[in-house]
Amino acid sequence: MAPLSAYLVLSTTLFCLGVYGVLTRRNAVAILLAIELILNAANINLVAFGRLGPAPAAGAQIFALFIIALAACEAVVGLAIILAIYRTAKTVLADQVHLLKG
Amino acid sequence: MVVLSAGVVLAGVATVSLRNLFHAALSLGLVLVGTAGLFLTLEAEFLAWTQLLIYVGAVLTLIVFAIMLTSGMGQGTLASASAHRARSAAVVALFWLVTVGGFSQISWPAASTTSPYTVPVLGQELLTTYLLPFEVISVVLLAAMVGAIVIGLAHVKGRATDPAGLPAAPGAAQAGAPRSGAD
Amino acid sequence: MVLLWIPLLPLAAFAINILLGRRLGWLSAWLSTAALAVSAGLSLQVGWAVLHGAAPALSWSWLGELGLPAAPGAAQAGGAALRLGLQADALTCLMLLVVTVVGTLIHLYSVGYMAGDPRYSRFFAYLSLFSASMLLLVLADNLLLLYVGWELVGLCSYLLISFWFERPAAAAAGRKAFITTRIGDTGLLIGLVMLCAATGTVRFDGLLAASGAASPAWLTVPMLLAFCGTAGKSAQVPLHVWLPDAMEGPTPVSALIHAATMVAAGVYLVARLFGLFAAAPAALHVVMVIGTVTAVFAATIACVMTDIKRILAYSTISQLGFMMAALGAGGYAAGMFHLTTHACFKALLFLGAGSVIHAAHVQELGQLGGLFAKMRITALTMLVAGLAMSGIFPLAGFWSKEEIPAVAWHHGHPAVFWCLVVTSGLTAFYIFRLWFVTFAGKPRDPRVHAHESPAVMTVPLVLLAAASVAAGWPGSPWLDHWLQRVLAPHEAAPVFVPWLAWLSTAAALVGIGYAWLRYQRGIALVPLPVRAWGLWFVEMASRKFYIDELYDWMIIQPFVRLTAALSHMDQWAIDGFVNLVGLAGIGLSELKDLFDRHVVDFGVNALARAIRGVGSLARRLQTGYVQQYLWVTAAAVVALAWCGGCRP
Repeated sequence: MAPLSAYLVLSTTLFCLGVYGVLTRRNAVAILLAIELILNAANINLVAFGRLGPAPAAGAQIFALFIIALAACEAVVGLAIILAIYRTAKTVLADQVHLLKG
Repeated sequence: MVVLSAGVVLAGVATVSLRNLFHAALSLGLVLVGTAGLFLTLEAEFLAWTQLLIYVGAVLTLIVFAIMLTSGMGQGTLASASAHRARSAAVVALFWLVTVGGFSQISWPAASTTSPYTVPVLGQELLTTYLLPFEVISVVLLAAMVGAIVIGLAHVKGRATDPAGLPAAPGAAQAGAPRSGAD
Repeated sequence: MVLLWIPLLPLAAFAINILLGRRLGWLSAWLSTAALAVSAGLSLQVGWAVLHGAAPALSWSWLGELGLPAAPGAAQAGGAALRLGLQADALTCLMLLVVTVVGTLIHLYSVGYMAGDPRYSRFFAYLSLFSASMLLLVLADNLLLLYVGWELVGLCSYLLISFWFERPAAAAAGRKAFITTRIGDTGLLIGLVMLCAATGTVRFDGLLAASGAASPAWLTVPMLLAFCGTAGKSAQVPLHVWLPDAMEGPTPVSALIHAATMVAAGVYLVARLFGLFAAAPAALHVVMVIGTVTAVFAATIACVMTDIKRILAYSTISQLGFMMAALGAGGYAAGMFHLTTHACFKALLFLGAGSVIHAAHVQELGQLGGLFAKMRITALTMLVAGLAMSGIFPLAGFWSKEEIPAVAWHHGHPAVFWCLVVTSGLTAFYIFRLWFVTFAGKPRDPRVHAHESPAVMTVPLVLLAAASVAAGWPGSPWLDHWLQRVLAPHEAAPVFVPWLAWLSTAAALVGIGYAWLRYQRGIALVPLPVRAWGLWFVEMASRKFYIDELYDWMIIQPFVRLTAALSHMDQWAIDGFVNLVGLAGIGLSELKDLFDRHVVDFGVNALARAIRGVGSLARRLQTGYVQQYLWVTAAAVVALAWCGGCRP
């Protein structure tokens, strides 16, 4: 088993990649993909800490389970929203939907 | 583990940078698979399989469906402006540095016993200590399903606004868009 | 108190007329006349009182402690307050009567003469002001108030001469009169100041007491200077030049001011200061000489003038010279006597001339003639005046005029005596020349249509004619020289010298006869060669001996050039200065503009730009792009973590 820090570095890297994707991608679906990356990074982090951290507990894996469930919910709802927006705004490009503009 | 890590990272890079959305989705699939493998290295077998089942089996499929529905396949997704990418990369890099720098100063204790958490143990925990979250997550799943259906409903003629709260575009005010009912 | 009313009534009439005259219309004239008539009545009352020994006086102290220096023998101690006031003695009463009575008659005459004039009421306002000033002058008991009245009558003279100021000749004449008399007045003022400085008082009684019987050395110069004032006001040579030009004014003005009263003010001054003059014999001598010269000089010019009023003007100058000569020779009473009678017949002559001018609208002898038939009253009254002035028995002039050469003779001035006799002859000549040419013979200009003047004008003529006959009697031997005794109780009573009377009558008759022959009959008595020389003389005389031209060349032109030069320099300096100020102002405002644009505007614009910049910067936070919001969040997290201590 690799040391904890390796897993941490890995999860950080994935997280950063995910954040980069959220900030950068234009297509809403691509943003969703990046969000999944983030979630997965968090999962890895959790499980690593749960197994190799200073206070190992089963709760880490259960937390990760919940995260997976929630990720699914969130993907569903998010995609539904994207579809709804696509219907009205005729686009899925994030920088073309700026209804929040002040 | 190194191989898996490398694979995961590369796939992640691919996910956030590929222009073709379908390819990006597929890269995500790779990431997910790799993650499952990592779970295995961490002796979290249940989680690994769950990951594969749910994430790859359902979520990824869903995403691919969505991609197909929004014609993201053919459409080349242009990347954002380079300035935007640059500053995003800058922030992200900073964050990576800050985080890694933060926890690298901590000396972690050595790995503990090799008592993995087996499925029965997990089940036990799930239904005793974490019963409430378990129930709640069920409700959340239900709510999510209902919500998705509502949002995804086709337009009823005459409604001024879209169920999502957006002002109706003139074209969509007529009979529901042909691509409705995706869900 | 009565004394105060005498000048106050005409002054009140002046005030009313000048303020409300326009609304009063014809009433203003009667107001002025009534005011003066009442003053005349009051003067009679005062005169009556003085004759019976009263000495009305009224004085008040003025200017507190002046600290005037005490002269040797001064009546008042040095440092006393200045006391001014009015007084009435025999001399003053005589003048009061002359001014008020003759003045009232002239006011009456003016009602008719000035009828229809657009500034009718203002004329009477000025006449009233003049009356008030003249009365103040004669009532004053000190030199200062006299000087005030003196200046005021000068002002009124100016206002009245240039009454028809639309005519440039009238305006110029007014100016000339004022300036010429001003020169004299300056002398009077300096003399007044010198007297005050020397004696510490300006009151007549004080001055007389200070001068004493001896002749102090300091007295001569002030008296000469005072005589300058007289020379100016009474038109003596060389300051006589204004009087003929003053004929541009309306005829009643000429009658009142330039025949009867104002010009008499100079004579009055000499009479009033006679005690001082007597104490400075040199000055008195000068008075006599100038008076004589003036008398002869003016009479010669009068003989060749062709304008009725000019003849009368020079006649006035000449008669004033007579009075001056009398005073200068020591005949105080004689001079004042002649002043009284002269006032009557000269006023009558002027008013008569005015009547002719009013009727015929011409003044030139060459255009007049044969008016006897159409203007009987005027002609007859003027005849009376002419006879009176020539000194024909028993009219007024006979008594007063023959006394003057007598005085000269008795005081040992034979040259003066013969000059005055010859002048009497000339006087008779020119006045009858005027009468014959105007009234006798045939009309010279067919366009002239004359008619008799209205009653309001002829009644004063008749009254004055009566006065011309009778005014001499109070001073005649019939009434035992009553007037002279009243005026000068300490002087030797004049003795009626028959041969003098015959001599002056003869001179007068010669003058009248020559005039009749020459102008009525057209006979020229003078043989040709003499006539040639005479013509040259006549030419000179008719040009008034070029005195005006001399003055113009000597004084006026250099002065005009000087003022022009000064004006140029003034303009150059002042214009330059003003331009400089203007340029400075412009420069200043340009600086300010620069400042305004580059500092103030710059500031304001910079502020606006800053705000806009900040706004546009801040706006960028609210793009509506979710990804940007997320980026900001991420950056914030990094920052917080960094601050929190997580550093690589």
